[in-house]
Amino acid sequence: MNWAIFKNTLRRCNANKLRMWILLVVIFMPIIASTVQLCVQHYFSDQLISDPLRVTFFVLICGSGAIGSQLNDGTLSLVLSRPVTITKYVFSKWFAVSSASSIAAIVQLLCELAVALNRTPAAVSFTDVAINGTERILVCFGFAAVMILLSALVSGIKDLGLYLLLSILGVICSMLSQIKSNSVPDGLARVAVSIMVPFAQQCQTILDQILQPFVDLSPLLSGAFISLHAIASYLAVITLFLSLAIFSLNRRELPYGAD
Amino acid sequence: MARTDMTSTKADPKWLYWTALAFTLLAFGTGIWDELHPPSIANSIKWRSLADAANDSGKAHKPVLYVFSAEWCGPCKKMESVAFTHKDIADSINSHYIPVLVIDQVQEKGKNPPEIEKLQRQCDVHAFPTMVVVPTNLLDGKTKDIFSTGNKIEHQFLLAGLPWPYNVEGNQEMPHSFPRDFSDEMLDMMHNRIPAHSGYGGPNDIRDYLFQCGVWHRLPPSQGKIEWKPISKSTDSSKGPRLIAFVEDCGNLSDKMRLRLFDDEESSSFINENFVPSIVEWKHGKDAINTNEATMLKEKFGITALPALVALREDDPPSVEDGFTSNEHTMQFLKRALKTKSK
Repeated sequence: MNWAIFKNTLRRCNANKLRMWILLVVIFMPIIASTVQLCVQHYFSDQLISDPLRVTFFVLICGSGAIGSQLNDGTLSLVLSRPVTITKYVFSKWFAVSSASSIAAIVQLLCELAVALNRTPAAVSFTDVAINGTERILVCFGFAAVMILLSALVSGIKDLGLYLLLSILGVICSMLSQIKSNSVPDGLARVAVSIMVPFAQQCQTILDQILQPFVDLSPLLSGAFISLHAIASYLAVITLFLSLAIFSLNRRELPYGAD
Repeated sequence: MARTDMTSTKADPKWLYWTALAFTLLAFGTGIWDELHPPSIANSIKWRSLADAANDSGKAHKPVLYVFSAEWCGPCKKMESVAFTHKDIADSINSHYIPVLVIDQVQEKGKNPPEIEKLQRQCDVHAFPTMVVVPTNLLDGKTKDIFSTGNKIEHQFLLAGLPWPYNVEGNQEMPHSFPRDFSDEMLDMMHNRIPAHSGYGGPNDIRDYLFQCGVWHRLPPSQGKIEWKPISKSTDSSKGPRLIAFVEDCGNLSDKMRLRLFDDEESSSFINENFVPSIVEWKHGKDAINTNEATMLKEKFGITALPALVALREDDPPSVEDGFTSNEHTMQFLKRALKTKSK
């Protein structure tokens, strides 16, 4: 962990005005949405605290181009001219992106909590809010590792394009995995569907775990244990993606600044 | 002089690679283990057979919940092993529905038995998993498509403050004077069809669907198992403190309170034993008339959000709790109200 890189990453994120505006709008969206809802519909929806998986958006805002932009402008080779290992560099970047997006996710949760407490105090369960907050932080740390790899693979903010591509692939797999084989005519088409559907299901499961690395903590509410598979998958995604990011950067010729 | 780290900046962190490999293998291993030893769901949900469903539904006056699944379907397995093992979901299904697990056999046997084939056609099943709730009165086998007698559309009209134009069962055209911003879902509901729920989006997805079905099938609004006393006659304080429940005739939280608190065996018997309960039903809509007594009570206790519970004790200020989140939370409020009394 290198604190100079950590701080620099946070500063880079702060320096981009467009990013900051988008981040602020998304954080304060619950207050904006509830005000608009009250003006238009005169009643609130039941969903007062949003889904923890939505915080992947914060990671996209804070993490896009985390490494790619430094590859693009040539500053990465200057950073590494000091005795800093790529491992430390990648870990610092990952920790900075995770921390920034976790803070944004928690601030948004507090906004939602304020709206909920103002509207129906009795409808707020603090255990649910605590679990939601922990899940948000887990999503931020997990998805930040994915974004760090994508950012290490391409320059600039092309990592957003890669993310979009993976998301589209996930949607296609999800659609394919739900096809009923008897809804297609007999013959070759049905055979193709029967082979394709299980393959699409496996791909969808893997893509889900990559695009939404997450540990469902809700079993704790009913006194059950969290599945070992969920924990292992989550840790595998983080370690594997950080390893791949380091591996890829270690074998890359870094360009010097264009200027 | 400071010691310079001579390690190459491109040194591979072998410990990290090995850790990643170990976690990946563990994830695959536990995944295979979960596939081979799925958690038993038979203990959580009391599945009934397809043949007995109609009979059981008629006897218990509960709608049937069909869960269409397949052996090869990954999301179905995930839903069964994750969502259906959650205690609150399993309890909700067991207490409000007659659950039937319908396993598709086309992949394994080439075709389904006729009764499954017919049911899938009636319920318009195109993907797995699919959940459909069917009310008792539509299990006669004559219905081409399955329609509900629920009052979701009426519920939406009331929330929007619009007058209710006619009976929902007539399938009439929507009048031209109606607002045009009604969503597709509302138009679908106009035909009063039960929306099937396809796919699996996690336990909360299932909770939302079950809750919505609870609202659609509620006709008329449930007053549950609580022995409500008229407000004027509930002044006898020797039997315990008074409890006044203010609930709307529509509204998500009021529906939740009716379905989860009033219908629940444990909480309703706790209320019956410890309180003298009364209910004030608050009506919505342009033409709704609420009694002077209801208006007066609402103003007296300063109630601004519904549903609300007011516990009244002699010599103590009233305890007011608005909103509804869970039975546990409300029970805490009720127990606190009783403790204050005993002090």
